[in-house]
Amino acid sequence: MIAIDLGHRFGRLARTGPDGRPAVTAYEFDGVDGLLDPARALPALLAAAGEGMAGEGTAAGPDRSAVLGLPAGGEGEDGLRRAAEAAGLCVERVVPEPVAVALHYRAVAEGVDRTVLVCDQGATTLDLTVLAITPDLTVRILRTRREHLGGDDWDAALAARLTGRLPEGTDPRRAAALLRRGIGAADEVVESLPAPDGGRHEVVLTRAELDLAVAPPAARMLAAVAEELAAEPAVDTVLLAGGLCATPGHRTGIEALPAARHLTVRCHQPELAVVQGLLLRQEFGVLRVLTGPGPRTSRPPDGYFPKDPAPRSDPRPSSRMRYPVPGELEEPEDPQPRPRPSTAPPRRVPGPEADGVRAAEPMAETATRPTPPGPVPSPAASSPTAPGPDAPPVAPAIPEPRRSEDAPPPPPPSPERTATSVPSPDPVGEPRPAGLLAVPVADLQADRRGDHLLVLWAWPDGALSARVRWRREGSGALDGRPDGDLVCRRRVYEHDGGLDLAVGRGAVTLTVEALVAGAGVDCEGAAALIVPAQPPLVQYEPAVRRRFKGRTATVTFTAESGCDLPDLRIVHSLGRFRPANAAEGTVVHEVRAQRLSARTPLTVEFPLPATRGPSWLVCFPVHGDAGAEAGIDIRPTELHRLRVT
Amino acid sequence: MARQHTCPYCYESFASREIRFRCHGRLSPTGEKCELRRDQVLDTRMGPRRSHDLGPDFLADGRRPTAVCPGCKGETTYRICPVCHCELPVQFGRVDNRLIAMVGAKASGKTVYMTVLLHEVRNRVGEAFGAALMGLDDATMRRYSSEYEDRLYRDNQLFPGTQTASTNPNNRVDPLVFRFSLRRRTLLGHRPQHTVLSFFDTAGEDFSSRESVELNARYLTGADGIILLLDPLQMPGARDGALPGTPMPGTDGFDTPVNLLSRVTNLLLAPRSGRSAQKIDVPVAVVFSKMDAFRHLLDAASPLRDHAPARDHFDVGDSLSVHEEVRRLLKDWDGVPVDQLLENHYTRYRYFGVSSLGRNPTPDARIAATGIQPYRVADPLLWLLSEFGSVPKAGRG
Repeated sequence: MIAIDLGHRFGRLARTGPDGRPAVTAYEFDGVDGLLDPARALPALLAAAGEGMAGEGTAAGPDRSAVLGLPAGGEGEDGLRRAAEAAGLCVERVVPEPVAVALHYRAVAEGVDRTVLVCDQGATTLDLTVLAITPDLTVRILRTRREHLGGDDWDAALAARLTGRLPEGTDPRRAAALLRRGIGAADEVVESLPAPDGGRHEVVLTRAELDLAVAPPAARMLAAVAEELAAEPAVDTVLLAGGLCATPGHRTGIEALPAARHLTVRCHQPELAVVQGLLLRQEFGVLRVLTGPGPRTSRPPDGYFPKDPAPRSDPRPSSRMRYPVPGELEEPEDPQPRPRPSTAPPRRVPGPEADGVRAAEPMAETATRPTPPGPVPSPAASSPTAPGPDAPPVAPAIPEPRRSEDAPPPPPPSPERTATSVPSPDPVGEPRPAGLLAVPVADLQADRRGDHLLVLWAWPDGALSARVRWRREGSGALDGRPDGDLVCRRRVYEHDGGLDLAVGRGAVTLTVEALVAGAGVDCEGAAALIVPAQPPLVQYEPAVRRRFKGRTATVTFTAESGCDLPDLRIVHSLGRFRPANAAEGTVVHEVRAQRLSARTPLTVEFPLPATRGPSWLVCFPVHGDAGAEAGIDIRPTELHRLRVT
Repeated sequence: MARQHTCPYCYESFASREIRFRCHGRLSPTGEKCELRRDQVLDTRMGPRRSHDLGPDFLADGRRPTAVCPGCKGETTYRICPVCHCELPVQFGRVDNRLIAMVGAKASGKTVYMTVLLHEVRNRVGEAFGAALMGLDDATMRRYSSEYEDRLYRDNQLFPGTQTASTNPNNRVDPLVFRFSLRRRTLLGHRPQHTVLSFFDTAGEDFSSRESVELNARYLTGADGIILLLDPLQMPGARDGALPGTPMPGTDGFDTPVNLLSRVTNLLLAPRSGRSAQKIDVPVAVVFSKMDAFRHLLDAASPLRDHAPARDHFDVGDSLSVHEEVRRLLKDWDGVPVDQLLENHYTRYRYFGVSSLGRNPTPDARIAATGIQPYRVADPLLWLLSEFGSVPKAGRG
């Protein structure tokens, strides 16, 4: 798997190196706009990566699957896909870049409920995107905004400042870029530029001069960030991405904003945040990306439900949304739309990510709340050490970003902040009482019981009910209800010995939060659990018939979904005890590995030796645990039917 | 020969006409009233209690539901056992009366199992089967609620060891008596069907020697069905495979399951002298408890990983699958002698694997934080009831 981040000016490609760490190749496009002309930019990047990753032969290496980054605005997805496919890549996913940044910073995790601002500033643009991350591993792009304000503006401002100090014939912007990247975190840099007379001309740039020169664009950047931070919903964390954000002072400038007081600003290898986040996507498993304002982006302070559920007349996310989010123009395809206090129908948003992007939901109300004190990670302590702000760090191997656990403790909440809160959809038929606060449950477990799931958890003191949400993941979600939401009473839980959910055999994401009465508890998040899918089921049933020439046995295999049946041995065993392996009986027939079509029985027939007393016919994979390795579950329809005589 | 009935309290048998009546002790229509007096039989059997100051008992036609007191001329419906003088359940003799004895070694979890079983039958299983379970006397209602259900479900505490019957006067064991009611479809529509169930919870020590078995477990011979609870953790071949962290029973004073089964079998065979060729025809549910400790060893296809199908009838196929799976486990646990003994001495027996709590208790003998998740606990009782014809079953076997 390779991850590709194409920008206007730079492209980055990452793949997991032999040591397990991401190896990143960066490339500056020459005369090509990576976003506007990916068909030309991508081959150039791949070629550069082939040189950069020596020993792997081609750029894509033996693994040609790719995950692509897409600007938050969602533009150019088709062109990007076509370019990648033309370059011989197999596009597995297209992930919005802000989501990749969130993954890079480990901001998406089970049970996490937070709102983050992704500040992505590269060579040409400043992209500000607000993401709502909910405990069920859903990332919702609430709004996105683009300013044409990037490293080029920094360079232009510095070039103006350097007027008269550069040798004649020197491109001032190029020289400014060189100096700006060269100064890094130092107080001063001396660059030797070619002079017209063939000699060298030294130019000195101090930190003070640089700060003074770039003050106007920096002020514009900070103003844009401050505007986003002041908007609703309240943001818990600011995540920095893009080469320019690696500039010393960038992070401290944002942290100094009044609107950013008590907020966490994270800045760790920002120039690699997108591409490394894309690479992390493959390890992440279940992730859902939605677009538009969510059903609940934060929690009111005095209860689980907002007191005033009056819907806002404008269901649109924000007037500051300069760029349309992906799929805004398409109609919804929600298979089970729920009634919502909406003035506009929900919209289906075709996602930039193959994992599925759901319908945008109208914003319903606003309410005030303190900033949640949940598990908000702090910025990584390490400062950027890249060679330059938006310069491509050409590094054969970049160490993995630090995990959030390494971060210092989160700052205290700021009670004066306000946030937008939208009531989550009521569980089916369960009007929940006001004044209940949600707290995570402990010891959340789920036991598979065939097609059912027995969900267990430890109830917090005082909780009499719990809200349980589940979502079926993968293709199995297409059959039946894809998700659910209910309130489980503690009394019922205790009487029934847990909560039984009929969710099928697919992967399921569960979140459970107990509802506790009383004020003063301000706790964010829900306990979440991912239950992996069960492998396809192949059932077999033996039968014995008496014929003129003796007894004949048949074994019929049936699968609910198409799968590959491994080599099997049918073993005949005598005695009252069912054989546990092929050595405990005689192999009477072998079934060759073959494709088993869904609901199409495969029957094998063979003569059965005459026996006295009880005997068994049991199937075993020829190669040990081949059934498990093949990802299928081979079992009898009823175990006692294996006893054939 | 008149049909014999068995008292659900003392497990003694008698004919219907032998049933005695007790005066209600209230003012009769004739204006007379019988004096309350201490029932010496009750005192002898159950121990002296003030609640044994009752109206006089008298002999009448026990086949009738009512009788007229010869003293006060008042009509009474109180029918009592001619042996122990306990008040018999309403409609006793006209509804199915099934006595189910529970046998198990020390610390095999009999009390927990019985409590959870009755709770399940009252709640989840009762809902699936459309069945109701009600206490038939005040003592049962009070004792089940306060001594069993509340302690386990409300206080989340396990039980101390059950007191052996030998410490009680006259080796008395007080059973819990319930009425199991089910709506059955008949040719005339849905009709309620009632079965009286009597549960004895005995101490494991009562089965530690043949003398104590005969002395304290006399009710076994009168039982219509037996639930034999065996703890696989007391089987040397199984202990090593238990989930790490599982509390292990000690070895002092404990007996192996095959020894317990041998004693019970001897007791049941004793009154059958002269018919040695016949097997014991009392259905025996051989229940292996604490199966949660072995869940990690089970195949994905094992029926012991699934709950019993929640239907309104007993699923014979599922039960047979569990039977064969447990038999297979017995082989792994060096339990072949148990299987051989059952096969050679019992006509009807069925293996079950249950877990009353679903999780290991905490070291301080409390329920796990996630609560009680009983697992297949009702299967043995439902099988016995299906053998009696008290619940419908689907499938053969």
